[in-house]
Amino acid sequence: MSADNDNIIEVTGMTVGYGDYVILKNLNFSVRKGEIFVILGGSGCGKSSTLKHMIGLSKPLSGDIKIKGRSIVSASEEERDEMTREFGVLYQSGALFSSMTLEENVSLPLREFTDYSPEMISAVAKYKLSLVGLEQFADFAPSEISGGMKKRAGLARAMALDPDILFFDEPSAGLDPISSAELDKLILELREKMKTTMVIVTHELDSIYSVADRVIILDKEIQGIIDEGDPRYLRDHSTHEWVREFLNRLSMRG
Amino acid sequence: MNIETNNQLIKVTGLTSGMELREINQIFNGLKFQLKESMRVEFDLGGASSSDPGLIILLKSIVTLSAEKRFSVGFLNLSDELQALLEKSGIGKDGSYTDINAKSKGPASIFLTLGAAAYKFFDDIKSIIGFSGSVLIVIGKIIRNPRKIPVQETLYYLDKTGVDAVPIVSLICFLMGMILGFQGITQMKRFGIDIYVADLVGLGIVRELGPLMVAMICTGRAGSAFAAEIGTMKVSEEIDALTTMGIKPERILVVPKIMALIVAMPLLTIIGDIVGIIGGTVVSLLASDISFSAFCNRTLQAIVPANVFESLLKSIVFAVLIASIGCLRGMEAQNDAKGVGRATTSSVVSGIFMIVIADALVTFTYPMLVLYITGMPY
Repeated sequence: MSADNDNIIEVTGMTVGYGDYVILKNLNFSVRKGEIFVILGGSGCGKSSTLKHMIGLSKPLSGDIKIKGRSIVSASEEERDEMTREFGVLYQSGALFSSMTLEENVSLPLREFTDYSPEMISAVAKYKLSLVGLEQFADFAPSEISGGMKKRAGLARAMALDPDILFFDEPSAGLDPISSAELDKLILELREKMKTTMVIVTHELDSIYSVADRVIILDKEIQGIIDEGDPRYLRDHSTHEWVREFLNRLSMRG
Repeated sequence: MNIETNNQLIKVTGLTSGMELREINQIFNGLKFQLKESMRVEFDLGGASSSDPGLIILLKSIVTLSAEKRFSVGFLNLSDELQALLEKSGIGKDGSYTDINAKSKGPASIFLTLGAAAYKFFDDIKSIIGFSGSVLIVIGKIIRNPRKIPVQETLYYLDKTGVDAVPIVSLICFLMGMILGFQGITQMKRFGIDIYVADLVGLGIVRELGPLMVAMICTGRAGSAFAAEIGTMKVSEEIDALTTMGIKPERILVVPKIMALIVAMPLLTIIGDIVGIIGGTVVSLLASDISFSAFCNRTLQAIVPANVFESLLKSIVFAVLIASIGCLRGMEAQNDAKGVGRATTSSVVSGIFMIVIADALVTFTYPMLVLYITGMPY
């Protein structure tokens, strides 16, 4: 079954939760090819859980998630492993393997899923590191670099297999405003160069105006999506007062 | 604020907003002292602000106390806003109290506690056996596809769990051999059968103490290290990262550790057996008149190849258990520092427990196995 021409991810009727505990109910949204899609909301509203469900780390209590037309929910373990190669994930902490150098980290998916020669793998890994400005740190261990560099290295690893979709879990968390702005710039550059679809989960309002094409705003009270659209439009025209206040707080700060 | 006491009824009126916590504490202590079983306390909340944190703390404390001391609570002039706030804390408008955290508390009776513990115990054993089995299947698949064998990682863990453990294994087994020899010789001398201490030391070390002591050392060194390493990786989302790359964490993280321990432990056991026998020999020769050659001859007569196979079989079973339990506990760790600590402790406790059970099983079934294979009694 093929996906809708425009939609690369389709979430239908998804209930997010664990066991008997429901966090979000009946989520319906789609992500278009090539766009930067932001999942926004306050702390504890279920943003990261939504992401975990979308990348197949947890199963939704109900509903479906289709990535490029294939359901990740009903996929067998083998199919899911295969589907995960279509996307990369940048975790909050970077999630680099501490026993490996940055080059080895980026090489790992290449070693696992390609038949490239070791020299070729090394060259690809260094190229990916150069895209995030870390080529000269290829031989460094994760413990020897800063938090921002770890995230960039994690991004290089997420891009190793040239995925069509990149997921970001709170990319700005723990970064100072300058590093955060640099990461936003990098995200835009990568989209420009590689035409990758990006799904970003964040509660950092500061970066959404610079990167987001479209946002959905999750709300803990209604356990669902309270509003959806262009963040600049929602800031001024959302029918929900809470959303306008939420997004204008950023404008007041900025 | 006024407190009027009228026989079984205490009325609290004139509650105002902005009371300090010290003041609240004084009021609470006063009421706590006066309130007895089947009494009633009523709060007139007419002049109180619903957003006053001190007031909510006072009411919550009193209502919680009412459940314990069996007095009743009532509210007069309760605003809707304040009522909604109190309901969030489990306090009804009639002063009733529902423990909103009651679910998280453990079973109430000793039978339920015992039942829950027994269920957890068998569930635990099931998960350990299941995990060991699934990892052995993965190892089997990898062996059929040699390109996937994680040679470098396996050698790394072989060095850490095997080579690095040689000194401590040698020391412990040497001392165990000496202790066993000394205990044996002091008793056997009394009956004039000193020479049979060679049998005791040889068989005791090879069949039982050698593999068991090596397993204990490896549980403390390797099992706990595996749990801590994988637990920490879980906290830093490295396991999630592997999963979303389509790489089985078991293959990358668990297989090299189990393969390394399966190779390392039999080798360590052989070293432990030899050093243990040397320890027993030294002390036996010093404490008796047996000659070195007589002791060696007796030892060689006592130990047959089946004893050595028993030793090696036990060490392989222990290796699979120690590595599986360590890795499983790491995988199960909660995503925080406490969780990693608990996983590490649990890997050692469960490891030792499972080793003793497995030791008993192998010890009792091995003679039957020997009889089945060779047709001769063990």
